[in-house]
Amino acid sequence: MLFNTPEYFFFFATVLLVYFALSFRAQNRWLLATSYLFYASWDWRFLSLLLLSTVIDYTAGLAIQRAREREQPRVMRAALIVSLSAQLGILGFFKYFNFFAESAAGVVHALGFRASVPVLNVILPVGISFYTFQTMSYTIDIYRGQFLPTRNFTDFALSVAFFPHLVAGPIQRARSLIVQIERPRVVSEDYWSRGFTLIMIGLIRKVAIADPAGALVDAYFGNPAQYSSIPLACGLCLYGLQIYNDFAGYSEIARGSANLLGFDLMRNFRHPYFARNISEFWTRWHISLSTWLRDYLYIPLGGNRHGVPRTCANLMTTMLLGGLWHGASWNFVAWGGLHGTYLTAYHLWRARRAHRALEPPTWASRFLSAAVVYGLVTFSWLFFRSHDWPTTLAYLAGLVAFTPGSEGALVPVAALWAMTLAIDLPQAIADDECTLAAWSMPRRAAFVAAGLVAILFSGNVGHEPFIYFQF
Amino acid sequence: MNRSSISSSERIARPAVFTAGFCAIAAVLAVTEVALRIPAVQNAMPIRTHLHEPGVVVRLQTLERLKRQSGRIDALFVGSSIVRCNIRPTLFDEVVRRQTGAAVVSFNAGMSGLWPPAVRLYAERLWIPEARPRVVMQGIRYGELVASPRARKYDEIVTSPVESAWEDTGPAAWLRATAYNQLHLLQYRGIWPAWLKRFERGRAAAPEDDELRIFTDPRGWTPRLPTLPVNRARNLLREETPNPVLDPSRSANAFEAIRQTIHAAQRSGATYVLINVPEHAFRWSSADGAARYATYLRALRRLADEQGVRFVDVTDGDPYRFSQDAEFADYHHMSPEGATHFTTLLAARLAQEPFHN
Repeated sequence: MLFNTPEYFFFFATVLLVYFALSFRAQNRWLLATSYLFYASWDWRFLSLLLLSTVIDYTAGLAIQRAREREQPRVMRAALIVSLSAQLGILGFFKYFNFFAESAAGVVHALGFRASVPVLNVILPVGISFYTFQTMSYTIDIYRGQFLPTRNFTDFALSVAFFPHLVAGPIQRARSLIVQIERPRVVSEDYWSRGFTLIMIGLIRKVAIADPAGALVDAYFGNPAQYSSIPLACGLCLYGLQIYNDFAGYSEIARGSANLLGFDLMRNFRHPYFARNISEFWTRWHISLSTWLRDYLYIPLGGNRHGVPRTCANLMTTMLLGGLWHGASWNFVAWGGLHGTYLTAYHLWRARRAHRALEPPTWASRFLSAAVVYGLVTFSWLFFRSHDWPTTLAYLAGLVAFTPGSEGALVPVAALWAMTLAIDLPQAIADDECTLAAWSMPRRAAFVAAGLVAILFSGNVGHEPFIYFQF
Repeated sequence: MNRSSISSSERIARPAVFTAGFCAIAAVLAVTEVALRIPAVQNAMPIRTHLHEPGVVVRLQTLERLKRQSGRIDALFVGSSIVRCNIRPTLFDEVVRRQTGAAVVSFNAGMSGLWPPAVRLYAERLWIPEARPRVVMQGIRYGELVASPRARKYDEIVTSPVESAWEDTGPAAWLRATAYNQLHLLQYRGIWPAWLKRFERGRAAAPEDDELRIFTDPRGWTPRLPTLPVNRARNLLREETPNPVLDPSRSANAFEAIRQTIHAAQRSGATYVLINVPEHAFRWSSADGAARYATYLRALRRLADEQGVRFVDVTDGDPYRFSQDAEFADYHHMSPEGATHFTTLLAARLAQEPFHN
């Protein structure tokens, strides 16, 4: 049940209608039941996996807390290890088993040995990367003493399965969501207004910008040898627009849906292509994942507390694993590695300039920095979008051939960028993603109507899945 | 939104505010809807996409314009692209007028890639109800008696927003089709990505073959060029072969569809005429080509007799009567010269049909 289909909106309207007729506790049970129904609509067989994951971390959370109260640090650690091993084991098996088996076989084969690879026909359960990361944060936070476990299984299960964020995030910290689940919600006028605004903007991003961009991107990546350099460069720009609007659109629909139920989910994007350095980019792009990696991987590795070489190594490790999180493919590892290189280079550059007096940036320098970051990020999408190395290399070869002509390919880039800016600029200027909700009624109505017309003229509603569903 | 916004907000949703919001949005959409109905705006917009293919939309607009101008449609040609390209209604009307003095208004509703079941669907559900003609004339050729892999897929046609309600009589399909039929805002889906896609190769792409096919003259005729010698020189016809042996079991569906078209025409009070549309002599150049042609004509004549309708064959059973390369664009679509030749012969045979009461 995709967020951009009439089925979802019918489902959601039904959920809302019943939800507001129920008492607070019954609301939680209703949300849990409908969240499982939502998940089962993808593939009911994986409900058991979701339940297993939930039971393991619910039990581990209670066990860690009980051990803390009894001052048994070894038991605490053991419970945490069991929880993390189980979650990573599930993730590793379903997502990475074949990848590592084939890679190992490749290495063995390269060394001149013959090896038969046990390849399993495993289907990737939808949302597994997201909910395992979320539940891991729950037990880690309890272990760190930052949060007390909930004793109510329904509440915990709802925090894992809450349908707006179940299949592609935002990777909500359990502690922030459970607090909301445990209290009665008041859906204020603000929430209604923001909820509808976010859903509308999300749909425009997905249907009118991301999907049309995707149609061109598919053509360019389908046979890059057919195109000259300019269309191929445009293809990368278009993919940058596609993935941003697709995932930001998804996140906005998720957050808008949550708002209408009286919940807040964390913001996942903050105009990433306006970032003026690569480090800032990562504070604006997929924020729920980047902060997760920062809090549960980069900082535990030592962060920037142990000198420049260690910091660089930590950055690279974090980004490589972040790349691998996206998918079981060396292309994703390369993408993560490229970003790790960018971040390392930026960190070194910044360390060398630390002693210099900083001049306030001019508009020109801000624009230039943003353009450089945009160029670097856009180039990195090549590795992210290609499904295999031959495509990557063919695309790269076409790109660096610098064949002239075909400037008209810039038209779709300009058109889709203009639409993206029409959404992003007012949000960035007001520093409020729901600034639309504060506009005057005629202006708001004109914007929403224009958005609806753009959606209607784009067609294909609900035919294209969200990119991040595959992760 | 931060957590404080929950506690700070005391206001519960006020229905009046949202009602006003929805009304404002609806008002803007209503203005847009009205604007899309203005002919000048429509002409500036791309072809609407609510029907299965743009060719149907263009032809329907052309038919509506003709009805507005002439007040009636006397004769309607239905069939595939061989009807669309090979029959010139203006010439047909002129020949009939010269022979009988009667002013006839005919329209060509032939559409590309249709074989008889799809012709039946469009004739029964769209063209006959829209045109309300006195005479319905269906053109057919040998190759259309079996489903071609190049024909439009019937299943795809009946999953289109409007056409779906022709097969599915449920309320959901009816509601969807009515919405798509009535609301112009819904009739442009897909035009935005299609426009962007034109720049895929770096320049606004030349019209594709399908786009060229959908344009018509004011009577629905679409001239087909270049001529056969040019296409042959371009090596575009190297896979064409003489007509193969027809498997009777595979043509049953086509005959049944023709029967249903006849019944649809008769239900509307129109006279039905079945027309053999000649192909290039090359199609009958195999050793038993002439015998095969005779068998095919016999089958059509038998069907016409069985249904009590007229069958017209301007070749008089001669498979080699249309053998001039310049009269064809390929081996079954005629060039304008061929269309002129065939239409003149056809009109001469049909001049006495009851085009007027």
